[in-house]
Amino acid sequence: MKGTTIVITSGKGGVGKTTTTANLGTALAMRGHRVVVIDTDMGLRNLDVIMGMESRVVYDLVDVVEGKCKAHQAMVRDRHRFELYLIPAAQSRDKNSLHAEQLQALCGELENEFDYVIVDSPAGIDQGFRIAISPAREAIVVVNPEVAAIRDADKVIGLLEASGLRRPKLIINRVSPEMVRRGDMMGQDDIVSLLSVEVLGMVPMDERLIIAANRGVPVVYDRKSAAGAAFHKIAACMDGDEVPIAAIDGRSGLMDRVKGLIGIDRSAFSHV
Amino acid sequence: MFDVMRRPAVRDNHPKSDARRRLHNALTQDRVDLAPEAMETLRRELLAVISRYMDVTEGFHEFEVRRVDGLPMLVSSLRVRELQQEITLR
Ligand SMILES: Nc1ncnc2c1ncn2[C@@H]1O[C@H](COP(=O)(O)OP(=O)(O)O)[C@@H](O)[C@H]1O
Ligand SMILES: [Mg+2]
Repeated sequence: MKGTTIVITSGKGGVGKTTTTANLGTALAMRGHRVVVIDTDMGLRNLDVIMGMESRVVYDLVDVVEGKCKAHQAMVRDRHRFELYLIPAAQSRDKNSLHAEQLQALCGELENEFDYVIVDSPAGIDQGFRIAISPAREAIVVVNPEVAAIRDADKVIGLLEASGLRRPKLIINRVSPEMVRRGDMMGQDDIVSLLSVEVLGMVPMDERLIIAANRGVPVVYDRKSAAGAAFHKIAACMDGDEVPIAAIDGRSGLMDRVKGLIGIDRSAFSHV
Repeated sequence: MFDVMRRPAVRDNHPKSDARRRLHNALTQDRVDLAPEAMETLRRELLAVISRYMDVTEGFHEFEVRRVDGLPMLVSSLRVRELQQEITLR
């Protein structure tokens, strides 16, 4: 069966595209899928450090598309035994060293071998963005519950739809359930009503995610992390498990029992 | 699911309402490339025209550019106070 290429994009920088790519990729691999994540942020390589693979990088994406090595030679495999691979961005090359047709051809090939090809896009809406979205069959837009991030997301959603990526899905990251409850932060309803797109999931602001990033271990490995649990839920959704959006608050499954045990207020997220 | 969009913006003092209102204006402007003043003029002129036929003193219930199936669409609705006996040109 042929896999799917999904682009993770946002417009604005720093909202959590790379974090989302690393964690969704890992969570999907933990569910038994064959996954390859591709960093297309040329010159600003990040995905390798977030996933703790930077010391094992030999070749990069530009080496692959220029034929200097085979795709599998550039792939760095996850330390755990999962079928999870990274193709790193070129750190010493610029945006002009990658072309849309090259990335399309590569992803088309990888789809024969992998269930999910996840492309981490650079920030912005120019060339780098256009190249990153070019091989995608589906798009996930990452947004924070903030005015600037949502405005950029709206722009990006318009561009995605104009280029044939209909119905992109939204991940709302860095949500503070407490602030939403106080009315100090926009919640899911506010954002849906503004952007008119489907929400795939909400990821809370989580200190454990920053600790995980420092260690180079995606937070989905941290069983106590609320953000990790949220990414597992999103992966389950993508996998076709019918996790209703309203239930992305912790009401079922192991992760929630874990959250319950360590005393995270489960009702917090349902009000978001 | 889309019911929530028909709800008029909540008017309260929460910071999130400021964010919503400001975003609503910014997104409308971005989607149709019309400055807020131009949108305001359009709204006023439309209201003036409609008021020649019916009582619309309450103004627009909603007036916004929404994305429907990927395309921007001007969506407006207004509550009619009461139907006049006969709809005639004043
Ligand atoms: N849910 C979260 N909670 C706490 N910190 C987060 C969360 N999501 C992202 N971050 C932090 O925000 C920063 C930017 O995230 P990153 O994924 O690199 O964004 P982008 O790729 O969109 O530029 C990183 O330092 C990351 O650790
Ligand atoms: Mg990034």
